[in-house]
Amino acid sequence: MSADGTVTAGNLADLFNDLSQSIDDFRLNAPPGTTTDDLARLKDEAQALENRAHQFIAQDMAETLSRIQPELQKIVDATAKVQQQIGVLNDVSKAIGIATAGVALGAAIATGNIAAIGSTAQAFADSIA
Amino acid sequence: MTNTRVEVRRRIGISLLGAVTAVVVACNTPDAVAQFCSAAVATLGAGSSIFRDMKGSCLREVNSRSSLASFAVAKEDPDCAEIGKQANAAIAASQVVADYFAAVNALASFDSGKVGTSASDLVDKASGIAKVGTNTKNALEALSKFLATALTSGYQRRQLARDLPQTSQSAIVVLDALSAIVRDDYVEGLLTSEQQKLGDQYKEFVLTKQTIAPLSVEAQLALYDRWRSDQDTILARRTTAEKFVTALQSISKGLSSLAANADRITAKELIALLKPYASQLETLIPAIQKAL
Repeated sequence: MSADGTVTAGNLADLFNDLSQSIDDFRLNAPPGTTTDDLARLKDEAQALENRAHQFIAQDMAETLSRIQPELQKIVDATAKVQQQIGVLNDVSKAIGIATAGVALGAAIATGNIAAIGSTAQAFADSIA
Repeated sequence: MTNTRVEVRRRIGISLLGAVTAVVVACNTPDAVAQFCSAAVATLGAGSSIFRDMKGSCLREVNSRSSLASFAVAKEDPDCAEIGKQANAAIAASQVVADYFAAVNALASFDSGKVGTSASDLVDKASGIAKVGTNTKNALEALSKFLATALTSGYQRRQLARDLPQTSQSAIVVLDALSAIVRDDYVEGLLTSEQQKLGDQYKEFVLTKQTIAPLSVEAQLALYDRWRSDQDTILARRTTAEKFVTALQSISKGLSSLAANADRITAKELIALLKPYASQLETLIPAIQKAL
């Protein structure tokens, strides 16, 4: 039973499982003279009750999952926010990387180092990409 | 440049290096969060096999209804299929929470010290162009490293301090729901029923055969061994599921403590607070992963 006293699908699942098991216990300890047909019928009834228990388990799961949908949406939104924050940090990191590469290119040009200009220009282009 | 000026700059340089060290030490805060979040992601990932076994347990129960040694082909069942559908939804919900922890982990694992080093390299290269003195270059490098690291790590820690407590209540509700599904619907419901019906299958077999002729001692012992082995398998599944519930509760308690103390907790206290939960999770995860 739930906190507010209402019967949940989970309670019904337990109830039907207990009923099914009681019938099986009776069937497997049936008094002498119980006919084969009666035993077969008891087995069918126990299985039908167990099927019902399965249905209530599925329903209980569905109800539990339905209750958390608003919270899941909040978590999805929060995840997007955290990913934006990581983006901010990456932007700062990238900005510094670009500036570093830019300065290296400037140094190569200023010193007239022709060989270095090509490679640093490429590095600068890569950092911006 | 006079000796006094050089000394003042040297002292500034030392002070800045000290500040950088302080920031690096404070990075233990994100480390503690990263360890906790990483363990939470691993726990939630390991739980998928438990949710998947909900349909498996249901089908094993349905298939145990046929007579033992009847060699009946395992069949599908509409009610078990519905349980499987809901279990997949539970896995999806679990993945939402895992994605959140993974994002927080990525934020906590961001290497702000690396950004500081890049800034320091920038000044190093700029100094080469401007031809500044060594002392000035060193001071500028230390200053830039400090500012870049402080800026990013400060932002990082500030966001972490805000994010986890803000979302903790929602995460706790979801984790509690997942715990309830595993505990009530799987352990108490499906596994209990599977265990009972499996026992019934053996009992029925013995009763049926004994109406024809008494079972030999060897046959009884072989049946008993097989039944014990099946029972042990169910028991192992039950134990794994209970460990998973304990792990989910540990994540939930960790978040709850964090949220309750977020506005007044120090970095050292945060590490002390999260460490036991992370350690417990790291102990439980291998047992959950290998069992199913």
